[in-house]
Amino acid sequence: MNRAVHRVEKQADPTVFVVDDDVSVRNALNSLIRSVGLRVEMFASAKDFLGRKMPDGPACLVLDVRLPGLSGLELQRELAAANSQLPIIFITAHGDIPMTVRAMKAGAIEFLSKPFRDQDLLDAIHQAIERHADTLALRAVAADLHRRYETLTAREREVMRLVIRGLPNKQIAEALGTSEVTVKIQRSQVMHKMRAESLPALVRMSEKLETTEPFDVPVPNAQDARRHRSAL
Amino acid sequence: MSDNTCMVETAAGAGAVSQIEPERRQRRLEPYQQRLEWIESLFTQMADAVFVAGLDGQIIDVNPAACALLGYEKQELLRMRVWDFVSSAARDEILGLFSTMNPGAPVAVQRTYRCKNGEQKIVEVRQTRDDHGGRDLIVISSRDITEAARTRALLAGERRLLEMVAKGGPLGDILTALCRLSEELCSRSITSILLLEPGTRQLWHGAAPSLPREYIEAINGGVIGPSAGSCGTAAYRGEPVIVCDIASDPLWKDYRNLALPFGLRACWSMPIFSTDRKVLGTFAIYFREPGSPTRPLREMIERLADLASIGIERTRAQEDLRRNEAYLAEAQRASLTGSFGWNVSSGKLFWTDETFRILGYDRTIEPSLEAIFNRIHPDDIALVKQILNRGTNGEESFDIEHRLLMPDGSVKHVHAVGHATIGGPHGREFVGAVTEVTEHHRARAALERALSDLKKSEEARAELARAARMTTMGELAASIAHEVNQPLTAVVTNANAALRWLDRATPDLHEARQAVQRIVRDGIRGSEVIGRIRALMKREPPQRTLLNVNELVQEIARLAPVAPAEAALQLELAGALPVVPADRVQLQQVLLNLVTNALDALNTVCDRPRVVRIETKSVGNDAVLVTVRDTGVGLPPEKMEQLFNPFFTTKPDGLGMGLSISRSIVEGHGGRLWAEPNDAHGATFRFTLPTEKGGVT
Repeated sequence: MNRAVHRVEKQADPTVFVVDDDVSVRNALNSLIRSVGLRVEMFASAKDFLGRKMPDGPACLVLDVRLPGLSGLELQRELAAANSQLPIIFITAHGDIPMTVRAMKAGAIEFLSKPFRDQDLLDAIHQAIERHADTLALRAVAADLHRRYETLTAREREVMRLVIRGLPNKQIAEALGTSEVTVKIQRSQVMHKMRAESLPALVRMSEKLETTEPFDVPVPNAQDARRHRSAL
Repeated sequence: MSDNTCMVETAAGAGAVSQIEPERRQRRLEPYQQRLEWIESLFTQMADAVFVAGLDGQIIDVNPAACALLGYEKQELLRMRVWDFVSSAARDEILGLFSTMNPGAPVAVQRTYRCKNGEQKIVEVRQTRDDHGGRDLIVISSRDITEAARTRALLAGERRLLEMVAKGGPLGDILTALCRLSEELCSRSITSILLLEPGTRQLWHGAAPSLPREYIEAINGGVIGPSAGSCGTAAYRGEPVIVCDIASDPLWKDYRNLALPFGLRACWSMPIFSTDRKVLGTFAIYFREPGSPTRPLREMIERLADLASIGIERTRAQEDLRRNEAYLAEAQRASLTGSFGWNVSSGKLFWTDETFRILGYDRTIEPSLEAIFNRIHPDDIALVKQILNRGTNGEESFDIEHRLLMPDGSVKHVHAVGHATIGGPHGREFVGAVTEVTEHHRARAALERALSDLKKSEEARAELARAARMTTMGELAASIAHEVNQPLTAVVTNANAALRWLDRATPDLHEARQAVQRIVRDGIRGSEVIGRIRALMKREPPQRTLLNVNELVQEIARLAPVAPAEAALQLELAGALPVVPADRVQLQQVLLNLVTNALDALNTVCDRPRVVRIETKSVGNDAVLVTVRDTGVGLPPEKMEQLFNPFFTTKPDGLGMGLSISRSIVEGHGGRLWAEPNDAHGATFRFTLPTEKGGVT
């Protein structure tokens, strides 16, 4: 598959988080998920999960709806409110249709009723992890672009703004009140610093800059796990 | 012949007689000799200082007491003039006095002498002019009254200060006056009073009218300690500290560079104690020469320190009192509580501001029992009178709530408490407080109403909970599903995991075994869950009591979850309905089931009135008939009987247990439950319940 996204850096191993208050189910899922070679972490409640700092790398969340304290759907809402991109797979012993619809509309990857077919769960997990890995990669790219942009001087940014509009150097020089030679130099600085191979590439970068936030690359921070999770 | 002239004459006379033969001479001289010796002895030993001076003021002779008084040697004094130890300004006055004095008419004055060491003494002086026998001398006899004068001045000063304290003057003024008194009593002294800030270890300026401002500021706020000058150490030790020479005393090691530039050389400091022996501050005297105090001076300083103590404590007490009174007034205002005092024998009353306000009287009127009774609500007057009589007759306390009727017609509720004070000198007195509780009253009444409402609704809620628990099969089913599905899921997942572990290129037998062991465990747990559910589902044995069905219907009507906007619940209940033996809880279940079904059937109706109608009727004396009719969607006639089959339901999330259980309950009571479609819309459900007399209908 031709990916428009290029991975900027090698990503860490994926992790599956499981939140279920039933210990037998937790242990069984632990074994199942490890049997396909994935890393897994277990939690007995939503609160326990929120207290955990997020590792690097792609991840997904396997979540029961009925939990003590914060319910699964409430946790989904909280994560969404914190701008988390962590994909969620719901498993539940008693699901009614309205509940399923709500969960899916709120962005869940999958909603499975217990007892589920193990293959269904594993497929959903793989899909979720891939999706998350893509999101992370996209964010990394955006972060990288923003970092490069930061290195431009104010003048260079002005030049870039006019360059991507397709103006020739002469007109740019007039607009900015400098000489053509200066503009030429600054233009080449821009291309170099942004590592753009061509004008269309620069234009695309500019678009990406406008539509993304300058995220920092996630740094584990026990104090502010929520903010951190928003970076996932 | 005066004694004093005898001295001179005898000497001259003795010379003239020297020609007579020696023995007879001696015998004649003896009385004169003895007298001379005796007089000389007197002169030497008398306590008063005696000076003999010429009219020009030159001192001719002095007695030892005079030397002691002034601290000069006899030889020094014989070279001096009288005003040399008074003052140079007194020269003219003294010369004038001497030349105009009448012999034999002694002149008594009070003077201040300056001693050799600079000390000043107050003396009472008696001057006499002697002009006998060719002489013209002034004999001056001086008595040291410094002590007495000082004591008089001290007493006068004390009285002044105590007056200031009693009047409640500011502490700063009192302490400054004290310093000035001290400086008046002890010449060349500079007095300083420092105050120890309570709760800290710092001494702050109290008063020091004669100390240089820069020095005061330099030592202000100093911390007390074992080696902190005179005052800091005195406050620390709680003992007087006498430093004779600041330049050399180790206590002033860190501070002498502050004091010496201002010429301060000695410092004697006395701690000022409160009545409970806490250090309030220090009373100190500075001198510009080194020196230590005489005992009288030390005693004077102690007395002044005591005065300072009185001044400080009293002033602080007055401040506290003023502050407390202000707080009390505020507190009374805030809490709507006024105080009062009532002297039973004299009838005299005392009210605080808040009491005036509560009674609605201006502060200018005289508090009286009559004024109080003018305000008491007419209906409560008898009660209040009764209580007050008890008070006059020896009751120790009273506690009464009554109403006031104000001039504008409004009613206040008040709560008055009082108790007798223990044996006052003015006869029997009551002290108490009166609080306006009008708001409390209203709130309490509202609270009591709310509480009784709450109790009623609690009971109702408990009933509903009981009924609902039995009837909502949906909840129960969900619970069962959850309970059973967990172990089932675990079993299935473990099994799948085991298969995967085994299917690996290198099978992981350990993991697979563990998975299978969990399967066994979870399977057992699952069967235990089923057992628990079975126990839950077991029916309690029915408890039959005699029920009034109308009551039951009314209860259910109250509890049924129907909002007035959604549907109308109509009741038509027969009067004089016979009672039926029945299990209350089970019947509630049946009724609730029927009513809930009726409401559900009305859910989608929008083009006609939504009505659920419940009727009760007696069937002879044998049974009671209950009808529940709705204007809902209704059912086709052929489905009518199917309704009562277990698991039959028309609802997408229903379990279909309600009607079948209801029927079995009714039949268990000996009655019948059936359904009919309505002519127009909806369905009608009926059931019968036999009375005690009747059998199966």
